[in-house]
Amino acid sequence: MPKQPMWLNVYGFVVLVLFLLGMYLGLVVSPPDASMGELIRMIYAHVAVAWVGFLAVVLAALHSMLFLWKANFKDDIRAVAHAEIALVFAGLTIASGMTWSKPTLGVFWDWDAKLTLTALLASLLVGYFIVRGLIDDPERRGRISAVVMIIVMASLPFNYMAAKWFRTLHPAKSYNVDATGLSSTMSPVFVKILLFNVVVAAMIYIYFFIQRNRIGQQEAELFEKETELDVKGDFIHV
Amino acid sequence: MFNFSQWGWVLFAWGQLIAVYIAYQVYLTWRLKRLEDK
Repeated sequence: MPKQPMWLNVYGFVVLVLFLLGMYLGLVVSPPDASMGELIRMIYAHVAVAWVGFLAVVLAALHSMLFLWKANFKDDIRAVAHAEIALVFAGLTIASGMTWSKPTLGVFWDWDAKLTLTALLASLLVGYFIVRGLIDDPERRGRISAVVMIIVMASLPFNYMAAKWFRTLHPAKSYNVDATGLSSTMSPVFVKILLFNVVVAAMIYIYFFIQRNRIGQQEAELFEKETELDVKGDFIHV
Repeated sequence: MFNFSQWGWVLFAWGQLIAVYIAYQVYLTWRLKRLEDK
């Protein structure tokens, strides 16, 4: 197994510095909110991981579709890498959301549309890995889990629009993306710091993905070698 | 006005992020190490 390349270590260091800068912007530079006070500083942690988690699910589903189309195992390995990090980010989204909800809304959890759909998303991601663990044949495992991942992605539009469509404890969107660009009801200073932290979360995601994808590829190569050895061994025994 | 209670929640939320990022990095390093040993 080759060691981690130098450029990845350098990238990791840059990401670490940017994360610390994002934290500084969120905890020191950002002013307190007029109604929420210091609690607004949680938006930079919660929203950044939530958006990047959604992105991870979309990318996992895209690679799953590619696997169904081309039957290239590299796509299956990439889909798994995206899915695993999506689960990490979905868990963080729920944990940081609950931490924000308690002091602002009075409760950690409520079974309303937005929160239930997010819990469903995390549960479906866990289900994806359970399904993979139950199937031994790599091709069958790849195809069935790819379908599961597409179902996971199908829940995203409902989750994204839940705060608008349903009565929910979760605040409505305070930003809008259309032909004129990004507009927001938030003060520009909050938006700038939020977007900075979203970019940093995406960079952390890329850093994890590169590592996880390399592990997946190496494991597949090792599996192939072991299978070849087994076959050769059988010939000797016969 | 500095609000200790609010800052406690804020630092708890950011602490979760740091803890999970470190834990996941440790997990990835462990898997890489396991592959190296094989």
